Amino acid sequence: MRYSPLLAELIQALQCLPGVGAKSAQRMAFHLLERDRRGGERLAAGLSEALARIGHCRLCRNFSELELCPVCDSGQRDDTQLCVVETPADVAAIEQSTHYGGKYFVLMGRLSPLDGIGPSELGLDHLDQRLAGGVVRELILATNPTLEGEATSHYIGELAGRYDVRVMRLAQGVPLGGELEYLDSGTLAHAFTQRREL
Amino acid sequence: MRRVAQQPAYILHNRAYRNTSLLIDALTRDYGRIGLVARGVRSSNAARRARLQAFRELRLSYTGGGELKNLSDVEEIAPAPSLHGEVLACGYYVNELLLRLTLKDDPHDGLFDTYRHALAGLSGGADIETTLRVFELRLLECLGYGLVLDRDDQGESLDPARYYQYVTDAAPVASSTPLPERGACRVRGACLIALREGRLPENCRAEAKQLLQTALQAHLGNKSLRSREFMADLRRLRDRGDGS
Repeated sequence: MRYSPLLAELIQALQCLPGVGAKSAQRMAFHLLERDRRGGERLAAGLSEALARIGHCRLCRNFSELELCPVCDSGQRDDTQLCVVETPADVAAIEQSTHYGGKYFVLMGRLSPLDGIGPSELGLDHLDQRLAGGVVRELILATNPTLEGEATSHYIGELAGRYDVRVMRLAQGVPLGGELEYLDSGTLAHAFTQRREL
Repeated sequence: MRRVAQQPAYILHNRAYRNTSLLIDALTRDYGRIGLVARGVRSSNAARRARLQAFRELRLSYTGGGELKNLSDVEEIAPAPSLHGEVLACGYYVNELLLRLTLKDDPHDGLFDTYRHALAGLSGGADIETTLRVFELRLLECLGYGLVLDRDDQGESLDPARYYQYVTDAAPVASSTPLPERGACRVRGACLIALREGRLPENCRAEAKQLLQTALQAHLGNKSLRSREFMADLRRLRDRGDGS
């Protein structure tokens, strides 16, 4: 099927979204043109404004069009706790499911020596400065429990070693509602060695 | 389509591919290093994703004969070794050497066991330097670039007390001059003999490291090893911590 140039361009452009292939892109394009032109205009305006203005928060490196993101700017949150995560999605996950009241530092990635992602790519010098400020008392390393996440947390642990900061790592163990029989041995071994008293 | 079942393997490296898949580099026992794609594991199959980590001994089943095979099943054989901190960085180094020095689908006898032995050493708390040097030495042997450690260029057996010039790809030359020639290392006979026996006495460490680095560099080319930079970064951090 041949589309007019503008329509073809729109369908092609929509495919840059994750999980969107040619078929879904076509459906989205037709939907916007047939049924929801106003929604399309809003999307276009929101997209171009967001792309033009959103950068990174000066303190936590999360996405924000303001110099400080709402979390860093909030007077209600505890300055002495700092939680290090890999991506903005991790911040969202923690905010939605925990009562954590401290602040964040978003790495926007993880150390991956074999892919050439080193400390400077992750802005760890920013984190170093933040720790040097002396306000942070507890550093919570919430990187993913993968090898890269492990390497990242080890590196940050070493980085924090010279400051008077308590360094914590998220606990690892059996998922809620999980069954031991179907667990991979690494997770089970971790859960077993880090067992706690009732 | 070719089908391989239950092949003993280690994952050397994996990275995200498209939305939910992983691209994997694995070292298999019988087929050398292979490229695999594991579809959908990042979204739906958490248990399989957890198994697909580097350094774990697995049994992989896959199909396909091309450059990129399709992973169909993963079983773990042994619990994951515990590699943390500096030892983890050494594990990355070992993996990077394999990624850089082996070709895909090009099996080498003994390489799998050499790798397994090195991992066991690293996770079992054996001396790191010895484990790494022995691995480097055996790796070169498996690839057909083994060092000559049993005789000098004249065919004489090595004298522990003498110094030898070591030029890559040639037998050691007994040396009377104190300074090494360009592109050569100067190593004591005693150290060459120790290395041959898989030992690394305290006073041989620096020489052995230099010898093996020079030998590896000849095959690695000009591009530096990223894991080595990472180890250096970690060390710098630790020194800084000690200094303050």
